[in-house]
Amino acid sequence: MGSPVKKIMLCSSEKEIFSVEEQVMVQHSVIINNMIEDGSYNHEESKIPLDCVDSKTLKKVIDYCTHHTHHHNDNQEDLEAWDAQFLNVDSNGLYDLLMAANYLEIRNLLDLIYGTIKNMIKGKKIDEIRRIFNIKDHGFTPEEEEQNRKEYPHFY
Amino acid sequence: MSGNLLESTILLGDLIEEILVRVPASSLVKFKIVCKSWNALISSSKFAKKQLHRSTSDPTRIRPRLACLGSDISRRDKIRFYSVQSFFKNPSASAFTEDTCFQTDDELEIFGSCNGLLCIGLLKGKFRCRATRRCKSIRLWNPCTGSVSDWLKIVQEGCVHGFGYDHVHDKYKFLDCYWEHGHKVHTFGSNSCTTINQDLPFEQPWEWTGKFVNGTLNWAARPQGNLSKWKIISFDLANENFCQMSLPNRNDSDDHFFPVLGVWRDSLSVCFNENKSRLVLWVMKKYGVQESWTKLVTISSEDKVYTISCARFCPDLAVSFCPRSPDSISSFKLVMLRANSFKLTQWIYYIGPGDRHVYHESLVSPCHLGLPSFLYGSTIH
Repeated sequence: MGSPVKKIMLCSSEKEIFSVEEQVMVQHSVIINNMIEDGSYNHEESKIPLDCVDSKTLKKVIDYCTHHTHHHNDNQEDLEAWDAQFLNVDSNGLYDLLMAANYLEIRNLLDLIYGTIKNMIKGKKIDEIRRIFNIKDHGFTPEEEEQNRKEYPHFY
Repeated sequence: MSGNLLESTILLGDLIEEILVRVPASSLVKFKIVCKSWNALISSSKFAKKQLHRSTSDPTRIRPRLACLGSDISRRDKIRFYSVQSFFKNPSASAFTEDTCFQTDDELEIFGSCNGLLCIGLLKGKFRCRATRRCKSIRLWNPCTGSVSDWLKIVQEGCVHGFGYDHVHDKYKFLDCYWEHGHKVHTFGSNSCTTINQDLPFEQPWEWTGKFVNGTLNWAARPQGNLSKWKIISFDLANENFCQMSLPNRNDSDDHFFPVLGVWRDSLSVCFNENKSRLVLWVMKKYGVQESWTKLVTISSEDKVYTISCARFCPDLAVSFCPRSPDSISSFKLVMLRANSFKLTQWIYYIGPGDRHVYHESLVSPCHLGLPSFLYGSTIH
């Protein structure tokens, strides 16, 4: 029996506390790794405040990091299937995950989300892409927009 | 997944960039009309480089395209483009559809391709007599973005040439070899032309266009006075000098063989006959390392493949050309190479001087290189 697993505390925007294996977060999050390395995290008292990550999203992020820490030796297909299931969320959920992964700098999760969004826009028409990215102001003059629509009607 | 990604928020610019950099160049060209900020991003040189790096680092995402130079009925030169992927998916000639072309009254030649750019030469002399053909102007063209540079006047002295990218200085260069009498390097976007006086005690190569691999241009050539000992001549685009490399050891005492260089994925390849009965394709896995020559595939003579001259950019399938007979240029097959096997397509008939290039689509455009340029064809601005 080795020493007890070292834990760290993460605090969501709702002030809910999550206790996670330190190694799991250190391996995946550049930000948390830096905090542990430079000694700014005190295991006795510190909680890492994640004001822009809600509990639901934080739980998912922890799930992701935990799975990828303990299953990194699984075969690629199993991991991909797990990832696909993991990202089977609605678009708000995906956006929240993206923001959380970006804030915590979890590179492999970011990669996964970017790839998913890339696939969402694959083969889509311009109007659909504007809707997906919530682009209300395209910035073109009415003349330019009309010209584009006239010239490339099949893209809209 | 449905609905919009962000109901009330707007994705930060750098996150958008991270998403778009994963999108193929051919789609990004269309996304320029999504909004002004996407247009500015997609048109920028920095983003083009990032997208190129990203798209070439993952071999499973690579979608090679084929550029063929040919003449139409009125004998006007025309460059046609094909999607190689769709051709392999549906191996009937009809799937091999052209989708853009570049047409001119003058005689053209494709001098090479690199990072999505084609280097095109305008020839003087109306007839296809190779000995008297001299190029008078060259230009760069990205068929994906439609950006094409103005003609750059050059006086080509020799027939041997090559086009490639010098990654050390971040410059695209055109090499004009006047073989025994000095060579000229034209650097695009700098108006500079340097002359190199380095003796090459070799016969002029049979294949004039150098194969671009790893920052170098390569030809197979024979030393003067020892015509059975083929060597590879390599020109380093950064240092601007030539060196020589050896071919893999042949298991054959017959000296009559004609190696054809190519590019397999990102490695130099050479194809030659062995014992008159089979064709062997070798790949130099680590550029410049003699010990890294690896036999990739052996093709028996019953398959009537005379040579495999070019292969590039695919995960499991490589694209190669083999003419119908050693000297025929009017038809060819594509060869699909897998680990140790290969598969041939049907004959593809085609009339033209034989310039065929497999290239990878990118956003890198002549205007990014500081070249005066304009848009050709109906591509989005």
